[in-house]
Amino acid sequence: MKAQILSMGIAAPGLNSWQHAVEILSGTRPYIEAALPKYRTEKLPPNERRRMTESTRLAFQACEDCLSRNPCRDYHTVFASYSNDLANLDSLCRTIIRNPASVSPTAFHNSVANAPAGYWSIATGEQMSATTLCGGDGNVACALLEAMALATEGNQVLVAAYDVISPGPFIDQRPFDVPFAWSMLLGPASADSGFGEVKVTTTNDDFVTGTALPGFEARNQAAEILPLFELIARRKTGQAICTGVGAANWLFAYQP
Amino acid sequence: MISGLTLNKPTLTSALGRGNAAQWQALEAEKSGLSAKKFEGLGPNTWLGYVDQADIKLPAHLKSFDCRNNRLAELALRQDGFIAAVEAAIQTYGKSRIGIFIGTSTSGLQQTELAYAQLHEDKFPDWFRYAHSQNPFSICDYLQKRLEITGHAVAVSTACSSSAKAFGVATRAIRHGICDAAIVGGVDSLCLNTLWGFNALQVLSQQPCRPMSKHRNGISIGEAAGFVLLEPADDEGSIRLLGVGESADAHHMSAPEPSGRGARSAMVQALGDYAFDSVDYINLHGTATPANDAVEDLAVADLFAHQPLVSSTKGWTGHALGAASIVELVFGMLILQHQVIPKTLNCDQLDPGFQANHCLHNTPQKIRRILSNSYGFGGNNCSLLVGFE
Repeated sequence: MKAQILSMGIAAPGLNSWQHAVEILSGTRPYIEAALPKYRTEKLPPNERRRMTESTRLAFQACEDCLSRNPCRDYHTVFASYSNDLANLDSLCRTIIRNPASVSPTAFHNSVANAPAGYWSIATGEQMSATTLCGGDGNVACALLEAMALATEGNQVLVAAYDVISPGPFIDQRPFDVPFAWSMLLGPASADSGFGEVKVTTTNDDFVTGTALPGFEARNQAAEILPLFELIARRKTGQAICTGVGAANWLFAYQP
Repeated sequence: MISGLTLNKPTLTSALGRGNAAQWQALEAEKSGLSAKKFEGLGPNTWLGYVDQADIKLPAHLKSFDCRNNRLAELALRQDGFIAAVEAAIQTYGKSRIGIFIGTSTSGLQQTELAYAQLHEDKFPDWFRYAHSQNPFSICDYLQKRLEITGHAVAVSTACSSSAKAFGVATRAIRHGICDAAIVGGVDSLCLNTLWGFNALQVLSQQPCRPMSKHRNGISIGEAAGFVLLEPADDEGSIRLLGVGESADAHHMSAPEPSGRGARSAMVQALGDYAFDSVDYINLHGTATPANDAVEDLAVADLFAHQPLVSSTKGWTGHALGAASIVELVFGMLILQHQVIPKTLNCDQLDPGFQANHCLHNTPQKIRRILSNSYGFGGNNCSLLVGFE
């Protein structure tokens, strides 16, 4: 499968837009960790904006960043998260235990994995298919594989992965201590212009961490995109591996 | 547009019982599987599509995966020779070339609720295994290890359309060589979050759900697990996946877009180049909420001038949420096998405003193609076209 990369977006501490991140990822400016400010989208009215979970805000920030560079209509969406919104889940479960009849209907409809995708389609009016995936330790690869399949079939696809930090009880077993979201707009490989072509094959080699933010990928599964994003930022032909969930991993070959 | 993938060796376990024969027996006898229950003594007063699974234990080497969702999956795997069918598929394709695509919305949420009940100083009890229970990928991980398969796998989680969408993802994966065949299905299990959540939305009925009825007042929640092998076609007589249609309403998180344009779009895409009048029966999403049933009736009546019979089967099983689509896909395969269209069970009085041709008595009929609809929160729509070429 192959696809043209039409745009990128990113939302992470110290990397709060592609424009800001590209110098860090290409190694021309050092990375300095700084908290990610709470994102405020203009795409939804205030009463809807208030209802967004942190996962939804993260996804919106990365996707808006991506599309600011390449405004586009009529695209499929592929969203993916390792664990979906845990703060909302934590709040719901505590309510269930304490006073279940007082569960908030908004919190409940926000608890579905595809809540970010649902809000995105409402905000943008996009009616093409929206798929939300959970790919475990291979979440980034799963998102890219599905998105590249759609792009190979001639479609434009907005793909995004996002994961929030763990609330208290989950931190031991899910030690994600930074929020991270990324997004790409993919199109058919034959597209006239873009940031380059990506092809995917299986590999028996393991994931290799990027160079600009060493060790960052261990802090949030969504950050596995960083080695590929570094190639794009440097406009450098190369390969990036993402962890697969089966016997094989996935090798993404990039050519600007 | 899909071409050339067959649906083989289905298995389904639901409130109607364990395995396909129990499903058909109940459909034929018009015997609902819903029962009045307060789930775990802590749920709201309602009727549930409950699967008794007290006797099910996971294999010892996989006990870290223990949760209601994975026990339900284990129970379903043991029916209809499915495990033997998977072993044969491993011989045919190789264990690294079989993909696993499972729709789930709840995953191991019930296990997480039990852990929260024992939260101490903001820490979970020692027995809680987040990745193997709560995490939505857990069901895929469990199936890979249980069936000794090492190919690509992913959980599809789009609320009540999850296990229909899984067929779209699986089809693309086979088409593009990510895998050569696939286990596709859905597993969702009862938990307090969904019961109290739907209650908070005021769409949880206190009686058995009455889809399509003038008196319908909400859903009955069920649980179910079902699986099928999706394989390249080799036999002209096989039931095939003829089409998958997917769309987004872009309207509201928990209410359908009232003109039905999203529902229509998914059905039209599922049909692809197949003639509209080749659809012999439509299995409706038919949840028995006032809004869903009205919008779906409108969309179906609008598109299908030849007035095929339509029905909702959720009066039998309840609404199995992320597993609803696999329930209704396997029902579709049983309907094609037996050539009888099931009625909309519990529809005491059809809504007089409805325009589609609602099946109110089990009806023997020649059936070659079935359309099955699923609609999830976030306006996520998916229709499957299933049948003979």
